[in-house]
Amino acid sequence: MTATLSPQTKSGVGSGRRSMDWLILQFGRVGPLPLLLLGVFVYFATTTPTFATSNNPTELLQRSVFLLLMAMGQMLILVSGGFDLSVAAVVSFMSIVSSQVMLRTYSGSGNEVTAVLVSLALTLLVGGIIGLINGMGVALLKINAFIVTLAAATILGGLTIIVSGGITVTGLPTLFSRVLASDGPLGLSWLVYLTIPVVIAMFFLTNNSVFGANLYALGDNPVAARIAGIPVRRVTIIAYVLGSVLIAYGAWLLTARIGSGQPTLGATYTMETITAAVIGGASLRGGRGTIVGVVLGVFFMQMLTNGMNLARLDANSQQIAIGVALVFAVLIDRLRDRARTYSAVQRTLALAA
Amino acid sequence: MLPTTTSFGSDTAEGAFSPPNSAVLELRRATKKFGAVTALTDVSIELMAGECLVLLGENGAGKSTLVGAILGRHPLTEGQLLIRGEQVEHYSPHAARQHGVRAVTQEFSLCESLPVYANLFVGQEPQRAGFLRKGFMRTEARRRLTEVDATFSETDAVSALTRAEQQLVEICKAVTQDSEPGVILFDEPTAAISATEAQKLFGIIDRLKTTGWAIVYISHRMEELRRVGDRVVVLRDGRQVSTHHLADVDDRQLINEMAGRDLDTVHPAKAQESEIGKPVLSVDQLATSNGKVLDVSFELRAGEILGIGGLVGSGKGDVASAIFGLEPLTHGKIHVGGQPVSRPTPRTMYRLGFGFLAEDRKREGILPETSVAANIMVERLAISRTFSRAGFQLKRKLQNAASHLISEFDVRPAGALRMPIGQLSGGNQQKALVARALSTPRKVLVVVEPTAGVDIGSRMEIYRHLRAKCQEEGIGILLVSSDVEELVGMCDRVVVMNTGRITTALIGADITPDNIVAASFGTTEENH
Repeated sequence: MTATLSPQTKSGVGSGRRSMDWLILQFGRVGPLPLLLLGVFVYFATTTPTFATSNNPTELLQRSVFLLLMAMGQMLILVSGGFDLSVAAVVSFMSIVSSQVMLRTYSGSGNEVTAVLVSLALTLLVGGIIGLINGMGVALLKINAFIVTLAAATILGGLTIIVSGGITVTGLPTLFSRVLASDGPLGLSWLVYLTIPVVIAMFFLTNNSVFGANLYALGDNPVAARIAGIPVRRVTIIAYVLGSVLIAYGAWLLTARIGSGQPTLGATYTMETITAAVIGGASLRGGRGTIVGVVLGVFFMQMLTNGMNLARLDANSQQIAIGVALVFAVLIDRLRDRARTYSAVQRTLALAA
Repeated sequence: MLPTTTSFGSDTAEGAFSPPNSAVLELRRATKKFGAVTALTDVSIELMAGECLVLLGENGAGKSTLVGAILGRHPLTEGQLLIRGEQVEHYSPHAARQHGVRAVTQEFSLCESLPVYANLFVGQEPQRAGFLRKGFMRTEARRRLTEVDATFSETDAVSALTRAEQQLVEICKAVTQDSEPGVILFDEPTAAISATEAQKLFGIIDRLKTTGWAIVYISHRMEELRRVGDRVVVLRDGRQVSTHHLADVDDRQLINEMAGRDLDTVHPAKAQESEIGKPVLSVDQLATSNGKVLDVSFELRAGEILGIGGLVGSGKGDVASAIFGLEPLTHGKIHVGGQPVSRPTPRTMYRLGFGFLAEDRKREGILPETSVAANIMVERLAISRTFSRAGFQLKRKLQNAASHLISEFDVRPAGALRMPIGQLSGGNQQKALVARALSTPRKVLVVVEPTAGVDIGSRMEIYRHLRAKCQEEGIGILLVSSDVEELVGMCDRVVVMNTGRITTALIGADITPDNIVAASFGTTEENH
């Protein structure tokens, strides 16, 4: 009696179920984003005539680099179990600081290259210091990340106005304001070439470094991570420092694209980085998020925004669409969790049988 | 409906219940499949009123699936479920509750910040004209707590209670929600409580039996099964191997039936005096800032297993935490190999050659969403340079080491390497954490409740590994445990703690269950 049970399930009904299981497994592995991306592309390509032509991969890449860099920074901090509400403030602050420094070095030395490099170095350094302060507030003073980064945003907002006097910084060297945003090889903007190595480095940092392993462990269960011998305070601080450096770098490239230092630059980036990271599978509870996910999340948002622009949707409706997309992304991600659990249970039982 | 009647009936308990011959719940030829895989095959059990049925089986034998079927969480694929002789068609968790099927599991369903009395009435608060009858709730709660000899107040917040006390609340909540005795299921109820508290629990279970409840009891501890159980069902690989009256069968047979093979004695041989070396860890007048450890001194020597026993709350687990800097010290010194350790942290202690298995698996142990392999290797990756080069992981080497440990410690399923560890059963999570802890130390290993929730076969493996660590590598092991049998079977010396102090030290033939239990209460003859 009992012996006949398992052969029964393996024939007939079994094959249909197995291919279903395979689909569920794949869904659990890669998540919904590739499908969603495709869906959005097909939808706009068929409904909006200009979409397919204006939305070739090069265009998409060029528009995405700023958000991509910043969202990767946000993701690092999300994975550690915190989040960064100071992104927008950092962007405008860095835009002002980097362009003022560049202007001064340029008028002092007269050398464009020096001016641009000094500005870049200082941008990354100041970004790192902001991250260090945020990280120390969270890791050493044990203040909630929400409060720490909100305070940082408020303070930086004030500083930006004081430093800039509310005035746009113009007259930047053309190497920065023209050349960087112009096309390089393969018709891709130099901005893309300045971003791709960073994405690759971040991919390996999160996937293959000891720091990466420690970071995910920390976000997954901070108490257990500490007991497992992970230097949790150091890892937390590094996450904030790296995160802010990435955000500052994104702000620098954005300033180059615009061609001037703006005290109000990037006001929407705080929420956009969180949205992109979460759409890409990061969790606000920490421990989850991948670089590939963030890349797809950013592309998805850019494609959606671009499609809606071409379809002449007004800004308010666009906001609604992004909000809906965010909620759906999280819901679908939960389905993905269930798919993974299901596959794991299947494997467990298959091995036990 | 107001739940006014008690089901303990301590006032009506003089054997009022009729002989146990009616099945409250019955499973006939129950089979449960998940997808293409059969988790439970052709199992038939009867849960008799006034009887305690023990479910015995290794981790993954199908106990959880069977429990899920009884609680209505897993609808049967084949077979029938009968309640009081009548077949139930659409059995669900809700239907189970309606029919008086209850469970006291290891995960309590209490609202921690609410007082005890509110917890007892959650979801069915007595009201009058829309207002809570708080006075009534409190009196009623008081009465029920008295019946289980609770020493805490009904107004205490659940979060302020010990685990054993919370369990009492859970039991009161389960059995008094309606008047008719049904089925109550205990899943490893003694896992995190002390021996005395367990004795008290057994008394309560006895009383539940006399009032007509059918008990299902799951535990890996033999002596405790014999204390509470009447009949036993042995499961292996989802099949029912046997059903016995506990009186008719010896432990050895049960263990062999469970494992499907002949097993040797549970505990390996102890250390010879000649194998024991110099002190590797000495702790002097330790006191912690949480007040749980007041004055603890001991020496741990290379090649020996030193046990720390005591009740829950005696501070025995806090000693281990203090050694790793998880509880700040207010007083005392820790020396490792003669050198003082000024500010211990997990990281510094690992660097000194320590290994650690913390007490609370879920809170302090696992990284739930991280893979089994990463969970096993996380500590060595973070501490040593063996598995990384220039800050980057040597992934192949990590995988190999992890899969080696997974098979050595029999973490199931065997292909679980990349599965998030949170998806494994508790026993297998524990095995993975033991594998992690045992793979690191060079000098000292501190393990707290190492076999919590682990089946007997795996437990023997863990014991064997612990002893081998001692004998072959000369490591000193500090074994903190609430399991008296474990202390007696494994330790070369045992110290017993009582309210933050070591009250008794036992060695050799003096290490007996009676001596440990007596010392836990501070009632030894040396100490009166």
